[in-house]
Amino acid sequence: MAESNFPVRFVIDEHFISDLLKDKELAIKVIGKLTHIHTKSSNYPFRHNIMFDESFKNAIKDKEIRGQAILGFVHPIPVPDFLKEEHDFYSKVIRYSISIADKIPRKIIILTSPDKQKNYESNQHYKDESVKETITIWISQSAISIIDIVYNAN
Amino acid sequence: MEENTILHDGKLVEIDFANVFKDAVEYSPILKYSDSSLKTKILDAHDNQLLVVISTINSPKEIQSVDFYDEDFLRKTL
Repeated sequence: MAESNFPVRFVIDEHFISDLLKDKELAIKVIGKLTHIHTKSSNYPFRHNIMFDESFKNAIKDKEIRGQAILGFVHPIPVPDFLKEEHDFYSKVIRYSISIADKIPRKIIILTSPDKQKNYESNQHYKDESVKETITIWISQSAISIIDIVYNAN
Repeated sequence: MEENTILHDGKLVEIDFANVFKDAVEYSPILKYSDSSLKTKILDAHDNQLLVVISTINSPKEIQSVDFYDEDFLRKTL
């Protein structure tokens, strides 16, 4: 099976999933592309796209079986030890993204919803210019467009 | 088969390409099946078809359901 190097990794929160599911047929198409990236990644097969366990639980709280669908395109992880004392969710996501951003492909995209974008952009850990250059936050149609670009990158 | 796995609702949920599951079906003596058609479904799948396999966490490991991870599955589960 052909594997691919994709130019970015995605860190996904439950708000992106909830926003995406407003149009289920579109969500199915987008998830198909995220699944391709996630499973065909040569560097991180089945680990390419990441989500915290707490986001995973929130994303399925109204429909448990959705967990099976989500598992195909994103890997839920426990909060790493170095973030155990971090209580702000957005800080956790940004600091985790920083922690993996020095490894290939060295570009991280956080996928979230329009109403949560500001929570990331105004976060104290998202001030440094090098962080902003390496980690970007995408929402809605622009997120779908960037997923499309990454999907077609190989 | 533990890499792409989560424990969910008291069951083991694994998503992987069919060739990985086929290898387990053919060579692992510990696998059991709640229905023999599940074994056939795995063996008949295309190697690069993504499958969702749910099994028990108790001994022995018993596969209880096999689904193709495709658009119909997403439509049903999302």
